[in-house]
Amino acid sequence: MKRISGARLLACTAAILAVIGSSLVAQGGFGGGRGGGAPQVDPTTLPTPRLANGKPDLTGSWGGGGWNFTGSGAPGATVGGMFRRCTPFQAKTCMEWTNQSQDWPFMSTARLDMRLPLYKPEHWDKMIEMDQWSNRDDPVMTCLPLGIPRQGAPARIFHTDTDITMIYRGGSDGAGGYAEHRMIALDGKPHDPRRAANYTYMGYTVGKWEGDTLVLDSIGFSDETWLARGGYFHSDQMRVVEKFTRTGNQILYQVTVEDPVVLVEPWVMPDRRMNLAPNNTIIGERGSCTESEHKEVSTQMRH
Amino acid sequence: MCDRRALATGVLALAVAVSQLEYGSAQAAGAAPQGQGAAPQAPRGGGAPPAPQTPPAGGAQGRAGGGGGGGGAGRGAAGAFTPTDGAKDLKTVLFNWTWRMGMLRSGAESELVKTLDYHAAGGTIQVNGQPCTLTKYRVQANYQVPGWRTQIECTFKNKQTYKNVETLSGDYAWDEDIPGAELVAGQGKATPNPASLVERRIRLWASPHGAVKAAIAGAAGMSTLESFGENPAVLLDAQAKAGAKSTTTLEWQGEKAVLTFPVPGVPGATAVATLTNYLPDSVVVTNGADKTEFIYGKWADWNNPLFKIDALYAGTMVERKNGMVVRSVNAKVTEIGQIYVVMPVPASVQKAGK
Repeated sequence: MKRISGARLLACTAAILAVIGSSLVAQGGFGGGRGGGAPQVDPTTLPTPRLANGKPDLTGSWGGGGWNFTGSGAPGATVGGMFRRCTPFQAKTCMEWTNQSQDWPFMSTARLDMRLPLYKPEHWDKMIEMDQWSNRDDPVMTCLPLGIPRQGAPARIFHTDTDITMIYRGGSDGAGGYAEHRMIALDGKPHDPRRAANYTYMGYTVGKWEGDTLVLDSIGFSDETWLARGGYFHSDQMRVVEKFTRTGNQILYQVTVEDPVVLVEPWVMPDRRMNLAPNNTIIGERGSCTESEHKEVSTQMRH
Repeated sequence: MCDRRALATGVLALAVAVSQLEYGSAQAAGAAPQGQGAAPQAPRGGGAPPAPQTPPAGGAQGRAGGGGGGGGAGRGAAGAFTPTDGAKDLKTVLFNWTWRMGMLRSGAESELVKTLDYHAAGGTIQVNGQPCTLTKYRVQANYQVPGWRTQIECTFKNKQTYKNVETLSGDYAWDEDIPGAELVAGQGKATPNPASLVERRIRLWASPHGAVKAAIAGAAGMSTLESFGENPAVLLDAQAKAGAKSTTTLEWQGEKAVLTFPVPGVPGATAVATLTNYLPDSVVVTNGADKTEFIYGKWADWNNPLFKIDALYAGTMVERKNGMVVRSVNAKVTEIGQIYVVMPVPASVQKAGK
């Protein structure tokens, strides 16, 4: 029996979850707003825990980080489930559960969003081509980490006066990607150029405080990862600046991507708000992934 | 993306994943107010409420779990609107028009065609009154912006060549020597061309996608940006309930539906689309003394053979202005729903004004 590659299975599941996820986002499901009978208290009105050094303590389990794209270009658009009935005009071989492959390019928030990163014109067609072959070339398909910023917001944070550890949930990009972690010193030192030469997927990050906002500045990225689904590539000169501002039980998470090699201007992602979870989130280890069908891809179905 | 086996296995994985997702969401719930972090929901034009989500297709889940169904099956999923056989009202016609063209996507059957990338196989255009044989004709449209970029390269009878990139973005029209001119300092030249704004808007909203989008917007009493992303029938019901006034009208000429609607951004201009079997034979725009006819034919799925998506486009397009053919192009390939179609307005064009 032919084996289904982990990457392809992951991508299929990712696409399914991406649609469901977008629906949940629209309902506030990832926004920490599900309630479940919990009292409706504005989390920003609660006291902000602080470290011994007086800075906000970001420790905790956090939900509601959301995705890198929000579909902002289609405010109020009704993007339904992934299965669409066959129309009277489609071929008799049409099956509603395979329509999802055709429909995904129209539904993805990475497509509907109007706040796309502005690539230099010389890269526009490359961007398009990478999307066309995303079924083959998306790093998800070759089991690579999503990297920063595609990995999204951390799901759990351990914070001390001197460092911060961030744990990322698997499947953060609509079920794409695996659990990952970062450990970052908060000693205020600038980037060490020698260390920056060692490219990583999550980047080489230094942290500092601007008032009560923790600013993480990352460079030294491998250029193998994407900013988001759909061919949003970047160079190894990418710099990502993340800002975490905790107010009460909520963190305002802001991300700006600079890449002078491929982007015309910095890409400012939509602001996201992470809410403190009442219980500790247990995050599984990185899953198994075997890439085995890369050379066999013969269509340009998107995912 | 997913063959049957991968999809079925994926669905099983999904069941596990969803349970974890729900668990994670519950954990992450906290005490936040409803909707924190959710995508913003802008009010709809005319004050109408957002259209309801279509229920998931129940039949589909069973089929996936069961590992497949036969051809022609899968008709069990309920749509938000199903046209009645023989119905000839405006809502039905607009729904069928978009349905026929493959513009209704997702289980909600929303009109989700945001972009187009069109490559012509060949054709002829008029440049300064002279016919010019096309060697390149590529149209990129972003209907949300709304924007329209046409890359033209052609050769006159005397072998001289002509090259231009005609661009429209929002309220600006300009020409470029290369796509995206001047977005990077020193790369390309952008020349403001505000005199062409109306012509390019007409070309956009009389195009195969643009015409039906404009007709829906007119029927809903909304802008094209506001009406985008909705099931046309659901939208029109909601707008009618909210008291919105339709500016799109319908009459039947035998078996042909004839719709009249305003051209967005061109005050006083009127478009008349004539449909056969819910596909437009022509869109005729009258703007003052000018009459521009767009004749469409050879409707087919011109999308990449490696990714056919059941989305139709006109294989032949003829544009006739005041009786004279000014453009005639034949499709080579389209990418409907192209991911990256952008038309930022260069600083020099903004500075020059609208």
